[in-house]
Amino acid sequence: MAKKAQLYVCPFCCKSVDTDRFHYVCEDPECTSRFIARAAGNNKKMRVSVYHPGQEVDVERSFAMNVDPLAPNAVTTPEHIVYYAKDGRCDICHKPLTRRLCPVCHGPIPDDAERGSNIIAVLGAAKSGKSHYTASLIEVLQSDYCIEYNARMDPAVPRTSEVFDILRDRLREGDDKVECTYEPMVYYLTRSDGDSITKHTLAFFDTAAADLESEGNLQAVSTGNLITGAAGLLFVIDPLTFPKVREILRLPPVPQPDYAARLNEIADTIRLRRHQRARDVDIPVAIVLTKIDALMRTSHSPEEDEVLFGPESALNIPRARGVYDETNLMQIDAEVEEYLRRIAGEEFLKAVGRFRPHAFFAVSALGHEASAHSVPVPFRVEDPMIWMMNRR
Amino acid sequence: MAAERMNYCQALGINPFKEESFDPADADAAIDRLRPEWEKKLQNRSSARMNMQYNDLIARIPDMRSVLRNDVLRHAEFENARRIVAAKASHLRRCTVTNTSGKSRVITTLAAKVLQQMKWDGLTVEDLIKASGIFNSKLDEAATSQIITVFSCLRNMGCYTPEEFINDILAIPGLNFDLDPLDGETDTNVYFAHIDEIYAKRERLAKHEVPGWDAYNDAIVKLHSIRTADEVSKVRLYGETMRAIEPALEMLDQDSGVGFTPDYTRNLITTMLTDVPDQDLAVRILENYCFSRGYPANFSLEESSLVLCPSCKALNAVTEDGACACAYCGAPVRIVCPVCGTVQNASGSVCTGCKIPFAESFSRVDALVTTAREALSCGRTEEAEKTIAELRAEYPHHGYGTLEEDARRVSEKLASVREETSALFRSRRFHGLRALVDESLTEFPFLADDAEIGPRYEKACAAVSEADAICVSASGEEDYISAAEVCPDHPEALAALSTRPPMGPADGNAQLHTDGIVVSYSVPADRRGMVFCIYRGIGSVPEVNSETIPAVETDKGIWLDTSAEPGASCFYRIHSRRWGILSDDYAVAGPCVLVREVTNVRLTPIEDGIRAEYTKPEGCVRVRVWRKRSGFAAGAEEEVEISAGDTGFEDRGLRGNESFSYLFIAEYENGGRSSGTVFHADTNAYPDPVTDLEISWDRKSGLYTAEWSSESPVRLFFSAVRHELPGRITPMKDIESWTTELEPVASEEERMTFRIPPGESGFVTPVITAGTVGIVGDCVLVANLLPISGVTRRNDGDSVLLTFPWPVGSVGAIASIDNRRLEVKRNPGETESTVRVTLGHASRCTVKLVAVYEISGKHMASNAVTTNIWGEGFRRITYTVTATPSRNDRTKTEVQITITCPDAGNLPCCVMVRTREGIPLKATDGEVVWRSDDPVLLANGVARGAFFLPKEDSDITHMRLFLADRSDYSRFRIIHPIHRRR
Repeated sequence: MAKKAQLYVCPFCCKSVDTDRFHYVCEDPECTSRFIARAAGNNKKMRVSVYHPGQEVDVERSFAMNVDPLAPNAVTTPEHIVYYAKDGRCDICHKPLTRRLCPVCHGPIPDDAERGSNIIAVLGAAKSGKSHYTASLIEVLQSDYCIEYNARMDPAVPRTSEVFDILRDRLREGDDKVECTYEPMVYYLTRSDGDSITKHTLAFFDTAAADLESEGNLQAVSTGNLITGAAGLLFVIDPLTFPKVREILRLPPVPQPDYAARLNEIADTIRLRRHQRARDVDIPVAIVLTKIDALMRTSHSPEEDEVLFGPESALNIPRARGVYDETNLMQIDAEVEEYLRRIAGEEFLKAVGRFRPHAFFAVSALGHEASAHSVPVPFRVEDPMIWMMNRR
Repeated sequence: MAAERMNYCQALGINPFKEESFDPADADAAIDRLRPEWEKKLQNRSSARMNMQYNDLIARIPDMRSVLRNDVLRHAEFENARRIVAAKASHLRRCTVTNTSGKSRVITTLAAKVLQQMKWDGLTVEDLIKASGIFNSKLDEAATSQIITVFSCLRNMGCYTPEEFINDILAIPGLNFDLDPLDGETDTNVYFAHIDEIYAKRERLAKHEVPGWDAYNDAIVKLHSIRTADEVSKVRLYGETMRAIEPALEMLDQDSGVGFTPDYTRNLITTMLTDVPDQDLAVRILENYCFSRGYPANFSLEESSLVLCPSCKALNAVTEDGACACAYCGAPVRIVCPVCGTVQNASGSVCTGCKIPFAESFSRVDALVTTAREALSCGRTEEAEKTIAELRAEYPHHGYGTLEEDARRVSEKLASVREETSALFRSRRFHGLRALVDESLTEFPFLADDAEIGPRYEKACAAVSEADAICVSASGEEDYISAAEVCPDHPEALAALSTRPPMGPADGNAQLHTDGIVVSYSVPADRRGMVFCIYRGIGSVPEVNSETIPAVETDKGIWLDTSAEPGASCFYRIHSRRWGILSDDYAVAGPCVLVREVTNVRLTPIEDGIRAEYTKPEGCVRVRVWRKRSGFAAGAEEEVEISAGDTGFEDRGLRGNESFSYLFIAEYENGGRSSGTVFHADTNAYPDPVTDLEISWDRKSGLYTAEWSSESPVRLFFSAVRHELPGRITPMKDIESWTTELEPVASEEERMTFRIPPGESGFVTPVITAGTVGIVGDCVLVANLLPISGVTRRNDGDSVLLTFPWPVGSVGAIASIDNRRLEVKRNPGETESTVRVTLGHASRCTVKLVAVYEISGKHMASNAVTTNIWGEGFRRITYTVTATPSRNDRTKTEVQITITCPDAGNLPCCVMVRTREGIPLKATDGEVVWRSDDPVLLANGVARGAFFLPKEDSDITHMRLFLADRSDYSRFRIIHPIHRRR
């Protein structure tokens, strides 16, 4: 019986690839030289760089970067790319190889790829604060979280840091209309629990809001692949878009996104792509209520009190540090769910209910109202990730 | 074409180097001996060529006898034979080993082969080496023969050093030498003790029938013969070196097919002899190795390139320029093309580079050189120079020897004759002129026909002849006077008139004039036939005799010297002369210095001043320049002396758009000074200063970006204090001493990004550089005010203490807590501060902290740091709720509540709130179904309560406990039970 293919979702291109078809890299420069010397025909035309003598053209990476592999700015590498590595050995020097590449985009494949991918996608409607939240979440995970849980979070590739820096810098400059490039920010989170070490590959996609505006867009290859292959979804909701909240807080009206519809479309897309009959999908979803600082201020009237979180809220109870404080998170989950039931309605909760498991969180990326010279003080942004990584 | 005959010495086997001892009878004997052999070989008919050769020899036997009997013919034959042998012997240059110091040694075996190939009986190898001209030096020995012998014995036993050999013997079982093994560090005395012991008991080797015991015995005896420590160390060093160079020796053996060039040997030494104990010894070993193995090799640093003579086939060394003639027959071996300079074999008829035919070219070169030489020989220098120029143009790469030097020398000589002739003619010294031309005619035969000299010569000859005739028939003084008038330097007339010199002039005076120096003097009363000879001396009055040529001869009493050297101190001596006789007394004038003004002055405005270019007058020591603003009368404006050079200066730092006057004066060494000339120039207008500088701060990078509008390049300077500059135009050296230029991190047109050290504040001044001055713009205050960082929070009851270190330079801080504002002043010496924030009823609030700095008397705030604080001095209340049907009333349900707060004695009043849907989020969200006592008294941290509800309203998942008074949430928080789980 033929061996069943073990699939891995590449965090860089979101394609499902057979783990047996990974490409490899041989770091011996001699192999590159020998490959270039013996290359002929199409191999020579496509894979030997004319513009960078002594280097191979990374055709797949070039395509992934939207660059013509025959152009001068094609991605090249001084290392030899092995397309068909028999027994994981170099086709030239026959030494065993360890560095693996996605056969579609040539993004790096982590050592534990056989354990499956762990893509976390941040979704949300326009202006829901998902870019701010993504940036804030990565910063908190890299700093406070790692200290608290004795973990280490490293960018998978140098480009990850660049993409993150661009995102963060533009947010700091007050550019809220950051265009999403679909370039994932892939990190390796290594967590030490006593004697055991757990490694997660976290891929953060800051998806464009427009991609979630219609079912047609959701069916598009990139977003559809992303959602279907994700190990978890963070669905960001801006509470200040709900008419009831805006009315009570005397904010000018804005069009309200149909969050329930978006969630239903996401669930349907996953079902469709997975050829799944059941109505519910088994991708965990964290419903993240952003900009919560705006709802935690002192109320000035009984009316406002209706839409604000008061001192009695569990949000004011710090979670226990260094451990998974499930009680604390579930207190918040229950409160936020109730809050959303009141301002978003049952339809929304029904849509959320199609995802199992799911939980509700309230966060603030900045900790206060955005201003030019303020320093962000993130508030509970890490809660959804703690839940994602510790849920049973 | 008939082939050249064989030399008779070679044919008869006569040694050409023994001509003195040659006896013709020996030749006859040789002929008699060889004739039957030749005839026999002729009969063998081996080949047509051989037949012809032996036929020729037999036919020439009579000629041989006659040539070798005749002294002159024999000597020529021997001479020719020696040349042939030398040409053949030149091939020994390829059969030598040349060591690093350049000494060559012919490899005898190879020389014998060459000799054998020559087929010249009677010659020896020594004759051949001698004929080759090679100084057959002995190569430096690598070691003494004794050391080499000892080493050979050791190698026979597979060892390199004495220690290895001794240790090998000690390791032979059964010999029972009671000795310890040796190593390279062993003391010499121990070594000798070992070898003596082994030597004394060496018969044990034979006794125990050790394989090869006789070879061991031989080596022991040889080793024992070395008795000094120095020799032992030499054997050891030789052995170690041999061990190290064995790969190199193997390589020599492998590559021994061709001679080893300097490149090869250098490469061998640098790559394979790097780790040898003694590299010099190693090279000597290699040299001797090559010699002993018959490998021609060159270990010297000199490249040796050999070329074959196309005529006599001798090997010749190539000279530096590539061309050479055969050292044996004189025929050209390599030539340089006269047109393109390509070095090539002389055998070619056409240049390999430019394809010109050599024969025609060289014959034309020879013809032109001959023409030039002929022209020079008869003084036609112009024709010669023209021909040489033609040669140089056509054949630039040909060597012309001394031709050009000769041409130059002849031209100089001719020019000298012309000049002298001219001077003599001017002074009417016809006798001297004729003598000079007569003397020069031998070298320049055309001189009498020269357009300039010819007529003068003729006139001089005529004057001398006329004077001669007068003197011949002279009867009295008047006749000699007549002769002197015709030819003033006629010797006979001068001799006769020398007793009557004329009266000399008096009261000489020299005065400076615009065009030169005016020399004046008083003339004698009797001026009949008199001229005045004015002699000029520099620095002193000139010495004069009858042969001295004056600067001028004039019959007037005044003379303008326009040819005086400017700046030189001129003295004049004025004699009168009559009938060729100089006066005894004379007048003296001077000293007088001719001064010239500075000329060719050109003033050009530059960015911040004026550039002057001028020609320094000849003889002038220095040019001095003064500048003042134009339009001011003398003395009204200060004149500034400029530091001027010999050819110009740049007067920088001037105000823009103004007119300036410059006075140029030339000064001479002896105090002479020109009266000066004035020139005017206007400066350029300066660019407008920057007045719109704006500076912004980039939070992300911490960098400042300055922007301005100006077409000129702008530099930014930073200073901690604001400098009150006297005006917009300031010398750059002042600006640079007061301020520090900001290093741009990035720079664009009208924009610059820079960095200011943390905590620093000051003024950024835009400056447009114009030469040595800067146009100072409006400065802008910037401050890199450090924000507060490192804030720590500590809860203290219902307050939170915020502690932070004071940023460097800060004078205070402001904390904004919601709508409150709290100012903190920094005390002197204080390093950190603590702010107490009272939370009151709020469980959480946001605090903004800014550091305050005092800059130029004003308070400035840094960027804010925002932090959230919440009270943590609360206690956690947990509770459980259970609902059980009432035993007394079936329509009711009893709800029991257990409240737990371990550390508290009592709790504030609590209420249970119920909603119909979902859960209550606050106490006001629904119906209060239960209210506790106020306060709730706890027993061991636990309090219990119960209440009844209608059965349909008793779903506990819709109930939650709250504190009745919200302000109590600053001290307590309630953890609700989770009823619903997904």
